[in-house]
Amino acid sequence: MQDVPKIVLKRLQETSAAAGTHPDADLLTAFAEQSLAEPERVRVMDHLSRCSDCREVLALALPAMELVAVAASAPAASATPARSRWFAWPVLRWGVAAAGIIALASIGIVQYRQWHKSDALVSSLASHNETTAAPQALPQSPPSSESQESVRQAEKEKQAQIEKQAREQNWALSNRADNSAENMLVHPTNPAAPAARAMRAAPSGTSAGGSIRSGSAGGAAPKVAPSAPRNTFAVAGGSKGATPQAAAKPAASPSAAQSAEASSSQTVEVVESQAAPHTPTAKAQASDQLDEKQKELQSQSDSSKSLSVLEGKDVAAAKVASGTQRIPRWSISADGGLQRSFDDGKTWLDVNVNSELPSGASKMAVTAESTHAPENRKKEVEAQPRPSLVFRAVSAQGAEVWAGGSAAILYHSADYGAHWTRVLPFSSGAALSGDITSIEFSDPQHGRIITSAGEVWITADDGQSWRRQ
Amino acid sequence: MSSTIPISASVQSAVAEMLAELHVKSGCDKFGLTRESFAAILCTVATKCLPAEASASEARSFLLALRVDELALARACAAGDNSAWEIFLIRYREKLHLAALRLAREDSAARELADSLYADLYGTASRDGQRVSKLESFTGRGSLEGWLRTVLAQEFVNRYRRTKRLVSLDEEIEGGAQFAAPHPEPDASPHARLQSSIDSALAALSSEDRFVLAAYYLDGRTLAEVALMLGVHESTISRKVDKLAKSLRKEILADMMRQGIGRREAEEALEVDVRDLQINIRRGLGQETPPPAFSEKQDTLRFQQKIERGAKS
Repeated sequence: MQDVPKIVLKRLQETSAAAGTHPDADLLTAFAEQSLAEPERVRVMDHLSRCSDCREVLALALPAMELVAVAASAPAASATPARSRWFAWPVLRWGVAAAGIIALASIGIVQYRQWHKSDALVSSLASHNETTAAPQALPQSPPSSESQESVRQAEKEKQAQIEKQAREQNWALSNRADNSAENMLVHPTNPAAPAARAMRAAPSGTSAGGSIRSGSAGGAAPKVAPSAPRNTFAVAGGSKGATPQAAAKPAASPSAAQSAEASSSQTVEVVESQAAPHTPTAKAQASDQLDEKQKELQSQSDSSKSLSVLEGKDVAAAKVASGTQRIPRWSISADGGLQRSFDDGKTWLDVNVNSELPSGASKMAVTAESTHAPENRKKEVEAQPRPSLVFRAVSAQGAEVWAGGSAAILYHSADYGAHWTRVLPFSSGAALSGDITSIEFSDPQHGRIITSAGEVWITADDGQSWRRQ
Repeated sequence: MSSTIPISASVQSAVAEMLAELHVKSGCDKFGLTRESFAAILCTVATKCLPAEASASEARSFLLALRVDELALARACAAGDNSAWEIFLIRYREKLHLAALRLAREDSAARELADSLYADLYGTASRDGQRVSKLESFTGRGSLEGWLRTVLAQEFVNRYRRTKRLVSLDEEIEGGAQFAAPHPEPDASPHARLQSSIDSALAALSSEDRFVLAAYYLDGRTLAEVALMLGVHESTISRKVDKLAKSLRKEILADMMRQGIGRREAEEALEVDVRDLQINIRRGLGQETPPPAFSEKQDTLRFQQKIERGAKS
């Protein structure tokens, strides 16, 4: 600001002699509010320019500067909403679009990672299984080249499809990790069969399909897997439709080993139920083979030198440990079909002990599939030209389910019926024969079976060994 | 009252013409003001504010610009109408208190100031046995609120002056009265010419320019305050002040040069600070440090001034 010489200001002050009378308050107010007519305004202005008192009054009578500031800032205040243009519709619209893109991208990334992870897991586990299973398979007696070839061919045909299914099941897989059912089949008399069965049982792309151990030819005491490998994730996932047979209970391996080593007089043969590959041909093949095997086993039953143990330790353990499952109720339908109800008997679902659920199918999976399951199973039953099983008795103790019926069929499930194993009680060189009319288990370990022939078979170790009374 | 003032015909015709409209606008029915009394008020106001030679159209536009509602309220209050006072207090009590507080800067003083104003407004002073309210002087040309603030400011200034006069007469003496005489004397010839140049330059200013200069430089008002007083934008005042300062200097220098003073000398003369002059004098008088007491100082100064004058003469 340009300075005015002090002497000028002093002169200005000195020459400011008040001219005339002071304007009254009314005039001053009108002046301050610019409501005076021009001549009057000039007059007042002239007085004000010379009268410091009136200037002072005028200045003191000004409205509060804060109020003026507020009034002046009113336009500025009206501009503040401009700052909130971030929330204006055009911006919001683009924001929504951007948020949508981000959401899609993140979902895509997550999905991709999950796919990638499951692929990697499947492949890594498959390779692991190959490496672990191969050495185990090598000492086994070589299977016949024919059966191996045929099985491998079927396997190759299935492999792509099954792997695909495995990916589709990746969610289920993660849930079914507990269902790492393990196939442990020991069969001394038919060296080729176990291998073939093993190959079939796990057509998941793993060459050996889990850890299958075959007893050496010659009827030596079979080796029982001390513990089921945990790496059966891929097997369980890949063997959808060709599940390993979960048959044993947690104590299976020691007791089976003991019994196997102990004597030949008391033998338990636990025969896996039929593996159920997906294609009808494969199923037919498998069922044929099973029939043959069953006949063979029947004929060989009194040789009392075999022990086949299917170990589902992991399954059983997991099932027992989970403890969250609802305990199903069991019943026998009028036509001898085994039925299960998860809702306290309101609805009953047929259970096909031979048509295994997809490998690793958990209880939850069963429940989820229960609506389709009957149809599917009917189809499967139709596709399988095998004699229908007629059940007459069923007994359930928690997860342990025993079902028996005509022609000495006795099936056991340790996982609420998700997986079944056929059991042939042997005792002192004799097998159970006739129709099973009654199964009574007082606890999971102790049970009694009564047949139509009047035989009474007793087990004290959950069916590992039987004694005929 | 109105009977004592002659009312021009133009004003009367304008009032008669617009009475109905203004009466409705004023809402004076609420305050018990009759139409006739309101007409008399309008005539009085117009006659007081308008020049005698104002035409009927001027009178009409004047009447239209009036704040008749506030005028009616003020006059009803002046007449002592209770409902009018109720409305007045509701509207203006808080504002008056705030305005008084802003002036007095202290609550009790503000209350005192406002109370004295209320007394004036109600009309304690009587004239010929009649109560006269200050509100009767309100004409409605400005807002009633602004008028109240102005009245309050006048009251405050009057009080301040009274108080100041009572307390510090010495201050005024010290304020320069003692230096007023000596300062033209040391350099009479150049400064006399300078003064005449300054006076002529200042006389050439318009009243508004002079007002701006005085308010800004003498009163120490801010640009915003000056702008508010004149109803213009602050930046306008800023430009005006700058321009005025430059033009003043230029005019004074030109005038001095016309009087035969060289530019440099003129500039030097213009830059002489009156306070510098005073200090020089004080130095010359041996008054480096002011004495502690006013009376002593005053006496000393006067004594020394006498000595100085005697020496010079």
